[in-house]
Amino acid sequence: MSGLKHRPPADAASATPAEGLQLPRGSKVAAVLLRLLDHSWVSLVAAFAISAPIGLVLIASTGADPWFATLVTIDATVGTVNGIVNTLVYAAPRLFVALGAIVALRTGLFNLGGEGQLQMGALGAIIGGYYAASILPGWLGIPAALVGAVLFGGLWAGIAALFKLWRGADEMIVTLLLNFIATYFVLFLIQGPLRAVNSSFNQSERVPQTSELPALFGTRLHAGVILAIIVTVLVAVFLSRTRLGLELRSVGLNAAASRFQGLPIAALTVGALVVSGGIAGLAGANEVLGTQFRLIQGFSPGYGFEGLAIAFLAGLRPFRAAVLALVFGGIYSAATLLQQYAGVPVSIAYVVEGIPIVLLATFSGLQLLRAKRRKG
Amino acid sequence: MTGPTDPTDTPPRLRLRGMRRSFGPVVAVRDVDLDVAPGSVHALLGENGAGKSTLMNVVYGLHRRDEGSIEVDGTPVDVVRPADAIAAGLAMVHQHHMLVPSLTVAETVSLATPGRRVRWDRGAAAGRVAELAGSLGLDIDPDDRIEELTLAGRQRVEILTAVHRDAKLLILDEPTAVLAPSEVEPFFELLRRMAAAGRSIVLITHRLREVFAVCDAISVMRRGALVFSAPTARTTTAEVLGHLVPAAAPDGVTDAATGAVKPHPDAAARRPGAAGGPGSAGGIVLEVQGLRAPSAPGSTGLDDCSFSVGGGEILGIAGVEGNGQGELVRVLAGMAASPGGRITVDGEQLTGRPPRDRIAVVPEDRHHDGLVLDLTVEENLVLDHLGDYTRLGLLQAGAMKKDATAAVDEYGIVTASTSSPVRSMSGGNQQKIVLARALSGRPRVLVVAQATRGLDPGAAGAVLDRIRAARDRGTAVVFIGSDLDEVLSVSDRVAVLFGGRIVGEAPASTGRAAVTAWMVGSEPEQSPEKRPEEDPA
Repeated sequence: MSGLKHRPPADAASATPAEGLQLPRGSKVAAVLLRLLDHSWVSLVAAFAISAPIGLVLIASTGADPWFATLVTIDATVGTVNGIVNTLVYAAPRLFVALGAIVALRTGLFNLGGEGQLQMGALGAIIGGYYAASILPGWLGIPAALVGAVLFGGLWAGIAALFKLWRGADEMIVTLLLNFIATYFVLFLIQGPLRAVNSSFNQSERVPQTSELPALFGTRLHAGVILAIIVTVLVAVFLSRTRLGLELRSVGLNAAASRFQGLPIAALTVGALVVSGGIAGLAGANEVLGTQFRLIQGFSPGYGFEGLAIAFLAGLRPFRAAVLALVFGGIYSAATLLQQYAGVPVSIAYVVEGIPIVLLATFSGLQLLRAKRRKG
Repeated sequence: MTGPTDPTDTPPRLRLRGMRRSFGPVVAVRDVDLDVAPGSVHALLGENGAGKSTLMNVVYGLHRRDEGSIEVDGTPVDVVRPADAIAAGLAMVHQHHMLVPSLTVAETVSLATPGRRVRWDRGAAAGRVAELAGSLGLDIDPDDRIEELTLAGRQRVEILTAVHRDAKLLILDEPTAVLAPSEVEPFFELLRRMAAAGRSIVLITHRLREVFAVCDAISVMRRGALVFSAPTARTTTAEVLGHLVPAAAPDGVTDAATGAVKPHPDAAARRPGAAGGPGSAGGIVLEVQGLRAPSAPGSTGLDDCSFSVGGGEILGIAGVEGNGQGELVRVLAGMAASPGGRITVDGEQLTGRPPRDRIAVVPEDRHHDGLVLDLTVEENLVLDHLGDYTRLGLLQAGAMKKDATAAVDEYGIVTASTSSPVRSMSGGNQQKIVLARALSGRPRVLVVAQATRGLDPGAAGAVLDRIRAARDRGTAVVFIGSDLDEVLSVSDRVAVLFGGRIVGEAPASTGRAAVTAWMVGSEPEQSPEKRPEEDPA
């Protein structure tokens, strides 16, 4: 037997915050600072203020010019029209996945399957936007693609709900493993049955122009970004203002009491996971119809897990998720340009960009501890 | 008052003198003197809140004692922390086991025994544990994981751990509460074997029958004080019962130390018609026949439970916890099915979840089953009838707020706003929300379980007033409680749940003695034909 021990992810999760973990009881200044961090924008600013000097030192250590790297970062995010556009375009898929995750997590369901659901959503978008669109009138191309994406993503997540209700299988494990099945199933399809004729890459045919999400202002910006904003508002309204949203939140906060008050737990479980997967599926459609126009091998650089991270960092709040998706989109945009123009190795670029994320996670952890202490 | 003194020169295993412990203004343990002989099983009896567990927690160092001295085998011991008690040879097994689920039995037992060596020999430890278990006649596999064991199995592991540590005195807090009926007898044999081997055992319980089956001596606590102590051979059930429940206790008196009962000296007189039996006021509303529910550890389940309640009547369901109360609530709430049982309201048989204008339930554990603590007051108030506040899928926030404000006014709920989360509120205000929601559907039947648990006297009184008001409007109320004084003071009629069935019914004015006898499973002193008929035709 090998000495290597494989740690299942469930163990890693249970190793997180110890119950007895206490905040340092420091000075009043520290207390005030900690209270400030309860405001999400303060923690956002603080995260970047702290990471900037560390990042510059790291960049300098690779031999690149930190000043130039700073300029590139600004250009890639807020400094130029292209930077802003790229940030928005990179933010959209992450936001879709985050919104999907929020719906499930608010219901108390750990949907870790955003990646698989967006893969299946991309497949649904191709089937709707290419194959179905070929027999439909042109104006139905986009709706067919979007419906396909929501349907495929939703049903894929629904599998986890069925396993949970049928045999009590943990949706965390099932959704996680469904990621692999979805990713490789899609890869199989674009290597074989759905592969574009005469293509040297593993990719599908290009969707007809009628199925493309319209470009905006003559830039890379496309309607998927608008759709992401609309879905953000819809999810926020759904959770706070609709009966179903309240029922989902109630189940997520206290399943036992919800059952006692007669809420249909099983139906709500299925519903939450299907809606969650459907929204994640839109991330796939967004990529296929808005940026790539094909289903290409490796089209997702891990949107699924970034989306999940965004959902958690946003405290499961849709509008905060939108802001954080912009942050993540900007980080991706900057990392790409830093490598291309500033000569910063992409690995270092990601390390630098990862610092604020780690800080944000730390801050939200501190908030949780504070909240716990207040209640305790 | 002193316990039985050992005539010989051997000092008692445990000698307590002047033990006292207060929590704020409440004196939980009041100047208790107690002797426990070596090699004996000593029962510590008392109702809920009598101070049994607190006294033993103080002895074990879980609570600091305010005053008093502890001697073990004649040596004074200053117990400040559990470690001191353990060093003195004491061990305590709690109602809620404190074990690491993923460890094996052998690991658990070894962990609890302070060792000197760094190296731990798994095989040797397992062998020792197996040998020890064998000597105690316990069926335990040292390689089983704790999480695979039943509650009874975990209890055996805790006892094994104590013996492995060579504890001289084991304190067992309601050990039979987690045992299925069939597991009780072997457990008693284990206690006898340990006593025969020279260990002393303090058995905290409120089950009178157990006491006479296994114990050498019996002590009774009431309202924090030790009121009786005698060897089992020199006393009788009647005598112990007399100390447990003094016959002189007036109906529904307020207990300053434990509780919450608002005095209602004339509960029965106020509603003269109600004391006569079901239906004397407004006709039978709720009729329950032959309810059954499987027995779980710690509970007897339901076994042919039948009763009926009239409109405008409060039927108190008294009984020691674990005699089917939880199951009864779940079945009445439609959360569990009862094979062969029937529930009818106004003559109409109900199946599944009852409509909220038929039966409304205030569950025992309001944090677990009653409320979603992080939802707002408004949201919690409408959780079971959201449909009334929905148009085209959208919640009608205005209507929710309006009705919530009205409920807050009507029930005197103290909250910053109707849109604040329920979590930040006091227990009394939380309970009022649960009650307000239940009554907002104008139910024909209100089922309330442990209505005032954890509430301060003021809030408890307000909640009970609301329940009486509902009764006065003609609602049939089932009031399930474990505080007998409270049940007697609130109810018009009292039924006793024992072993999952109603074993007796009487007007609340009958007094405590008969009810208490039923609660511990024995017949009251009165003639049996006075018992109301249990199976109305």
